[in-house]
Amino acid sequence: MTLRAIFENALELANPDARRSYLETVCAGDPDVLAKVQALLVQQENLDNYLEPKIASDPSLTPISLTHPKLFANGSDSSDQHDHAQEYLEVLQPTSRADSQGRLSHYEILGLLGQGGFATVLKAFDEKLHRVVAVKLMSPQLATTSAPRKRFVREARAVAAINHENIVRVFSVEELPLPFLAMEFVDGITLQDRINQQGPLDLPQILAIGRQVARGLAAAHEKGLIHRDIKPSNILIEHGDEHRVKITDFGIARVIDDASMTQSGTITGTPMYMAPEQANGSSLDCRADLFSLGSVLYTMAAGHPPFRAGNTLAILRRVAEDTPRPLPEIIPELPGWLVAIISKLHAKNAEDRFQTAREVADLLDRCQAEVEASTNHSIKSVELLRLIRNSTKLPSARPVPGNRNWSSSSFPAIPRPVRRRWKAVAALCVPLMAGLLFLAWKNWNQTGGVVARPVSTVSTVPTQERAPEPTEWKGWPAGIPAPAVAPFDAATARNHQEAWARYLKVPVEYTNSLGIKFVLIPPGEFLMGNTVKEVEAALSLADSDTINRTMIQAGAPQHRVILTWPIYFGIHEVTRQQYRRVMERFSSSNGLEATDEAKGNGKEDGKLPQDAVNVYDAIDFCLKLSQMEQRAPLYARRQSGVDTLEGSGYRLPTEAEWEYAYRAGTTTRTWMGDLDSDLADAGWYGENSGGQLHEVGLLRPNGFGLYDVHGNALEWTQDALDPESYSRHLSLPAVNPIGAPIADFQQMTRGSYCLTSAKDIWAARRSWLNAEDRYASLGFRVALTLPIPPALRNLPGAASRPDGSGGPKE
Amino acid sequence: MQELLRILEKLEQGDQLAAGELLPLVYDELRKLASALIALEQPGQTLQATAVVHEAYLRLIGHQENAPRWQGEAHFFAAAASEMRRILVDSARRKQRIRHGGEFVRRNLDAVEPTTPDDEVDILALDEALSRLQTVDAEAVTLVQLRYFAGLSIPEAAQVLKMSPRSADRLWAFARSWLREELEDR
Repeated sequence: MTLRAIFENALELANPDARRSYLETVCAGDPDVLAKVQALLVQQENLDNYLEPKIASDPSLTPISLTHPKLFANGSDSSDQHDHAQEYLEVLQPTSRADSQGRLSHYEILGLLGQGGFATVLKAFDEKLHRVVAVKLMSPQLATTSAPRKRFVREARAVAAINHENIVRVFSVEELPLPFLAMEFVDGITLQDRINQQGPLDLPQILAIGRQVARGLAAAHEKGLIHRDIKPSNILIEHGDEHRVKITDFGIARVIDDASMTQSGTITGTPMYMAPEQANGSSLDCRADLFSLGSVLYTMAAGHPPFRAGNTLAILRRVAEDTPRPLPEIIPELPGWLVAIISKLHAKNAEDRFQTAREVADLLDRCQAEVEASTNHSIKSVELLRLIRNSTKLPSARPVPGNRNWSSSSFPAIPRPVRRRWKAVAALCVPLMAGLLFLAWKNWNQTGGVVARPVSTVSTVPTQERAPEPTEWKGWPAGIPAPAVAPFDAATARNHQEAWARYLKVPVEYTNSLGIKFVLIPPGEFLMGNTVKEVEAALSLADSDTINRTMIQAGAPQHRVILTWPIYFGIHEVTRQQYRRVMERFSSSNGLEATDEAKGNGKEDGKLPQDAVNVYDAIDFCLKLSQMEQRAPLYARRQSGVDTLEGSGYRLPTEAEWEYAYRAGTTTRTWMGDLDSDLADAGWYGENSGGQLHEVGLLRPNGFGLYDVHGNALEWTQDALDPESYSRHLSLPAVNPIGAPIADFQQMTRGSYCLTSAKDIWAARRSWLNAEDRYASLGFRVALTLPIPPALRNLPGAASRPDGSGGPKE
Repeated sequence: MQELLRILEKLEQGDQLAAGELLPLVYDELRKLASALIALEQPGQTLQATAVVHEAYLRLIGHQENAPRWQGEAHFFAAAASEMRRILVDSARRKQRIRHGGEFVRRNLDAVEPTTPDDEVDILALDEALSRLQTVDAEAVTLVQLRYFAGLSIPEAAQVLKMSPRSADRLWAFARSWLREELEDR
């Protein structure tokens, strides 16, 4: 018998004695097998979730034919409607009215409206007050026990205390023959039906419905009543022009001081719209309804609920732990401010949400008014946008020791569970990141209300949104070629390159002793960074990752940059072959041997970009290459960090040089244009790279003749993050700007890599990483400062940069 | 997609040679998705590998809500699960290679690698243990692949393995006990 068969048979025997005797019999004479099976059975006792698959992160990814969604497994929306549909008839009294199915007290029952978890809703005519009402009748099965009966009556009394146009009125509560209540009859459809019919709703509808729900909730909350089950099927929309919205079915609402609340061991709401604290079974307050309101807004916008999964438990887990798929991925045209409001409502921690429904109602009221007043659904009021920004700020609960200003940041972020493996790293990084982000945001806020910049396209564009005027270049010495002032096209770029090459008496294209190819990048001027509008657009597409969002924000404000020196810029990322040839030459015990030929050229991957290098590796490469060519080194390695010297050797480009070279006179999102589709033949990125690095130089070069400037490998620059390097140049252009010195962390990288998705590729996109980390797909390209013409040495900014006296060498 | 359907049909009809055509196709698709799809996901999310398998299924087979339940998908999932194992193991090896140079901080770049459902499990060790389990009980390995690397439920995996859910459940207990015993031993 196989090990498996013995194990499975033994497993079937629950009785320990029976199991033991079975094992002794079947394993007689084979103590090894016996020991193995016993060990396995011990393991089996404690397997828990070992190797168990968790639920797919997006249920839309679950193959339809293989799953049987039990989304409504808690019964409140179950499909067994027909089983009980006619049961209510049994409690009705005979009637003389032709259109009536029977009488209940003084109500003539006209028909069935719907059926919920523990009640049937009937359309009825109130004989006393002569009006049509809805009668909610408790299910006979439940009415026989006292707990649900009490809850039903309690619910009715609670709701009857509220008189608000956005809540379905309760007129009376009766206990016999079955508990029932008479309430306002709403002639309309549920929001769920509306979404089913229509799919995602448009912005005015979302706002109109959302604000009314928020107002209804505010009224209930102010009476101490939590709905606990806000979902589209509990939101009624009246027929008619006004589209009045009414919340119904406070079926599980309880008065806040109800003693039973603290022992809420059982889950009663629809899990898809439930708040995390409900999903966890912990105590809750009215902010739970605000989370559900966030889910309702999300559902209206997306056409489906934010948290879906194959079964109730999986939904609960997603509600408690997951961040829903970012709305802009589903509906790209959704404005960022609405996304921010929904994100804030969706904060896992109730402290981080809006604190009252009133606050949300007021905000949505104002947004609706603004949107209605505008022709293109945009919000123009800077003050309102600032209000949204400020109220959807980063949760104050984030751990930032002793740093009050942290909360003055401007964009929402939802705390996400940190994966266990990275907790230690995260713990180390938090103080560093906190300090850094503080600087970044402090700076952000100081730049004169950049955060409040409207998204609108109206003509009254705020001053900062307008591109700074090109500099007049007064004082540019006579007899020197004109600077290349963007925008310019590829032909003009080439003309500039050639003019400067002639002037400097060097070639436009230069190949060094190692075979690294360079092109001349002429002095010039360009707009560096993203406009606030572009940052908005990028943020609306980005996930809620705080660091990622910070990096996007760091791409603005856009400012004018002047580069006064010509440089040679590597047209390719440094390849593996080039890297090996330089580094191995020096690591070999024999020094300058010809081993590089055999080692470097033979390998198949030699033309791939060298990746998995940290910035010190890249600097070492520059130093060694400079040494090989007898150039004075431009760097000196220190214990930690790097000093910049007055050398003429190889170096990494600065961020400004990199972006200027990348853009090559263009002003579009990427040098190819504004659309994702423009990227296809100019870079290896997420959608076309197959997830791998490719040989350098296979695709189209940019206007200056540089290859793979987006995609393939991300590239180190010489700069570390200087949080104020952009904002301090809003009024005057930056001349030859350099970043902070290399100091282990926040080392700037530029470009994108083979896994970056198209939407994340921007000319001005910045990101930073620890200088000493080595990453797959992170490489570098090198630059060489050309001899600076004497006439240019005394220009402003000249002192801030290492002097170059390099240039081509034989 | 047409290509895949053709191969799956041939497999259905008992043409075992078609299996050889299936793997590269599935592997390619998973690879492409692993980079493109996962790049869109947020870092830190688990279960991406299984999501990739399911997405690959949808892309290759398409959304056919009313399509009859179809045995061909069993072949697909069996193939996709074993390919996903390969992809994850390759990726783990690659990371290990790079990592020795410096602490590999989980940020940006590696965040887009497919992740296994459970970061407590050393994927390379699991892979080796699975190779040893192969000689003990090959069916158990298939089941683990379907569950762990493709995220199938017990009834779904049972359908692929053509056994009852109850048998699959027992086999699942055996496979997990065996693997845990094996991995704890080392």
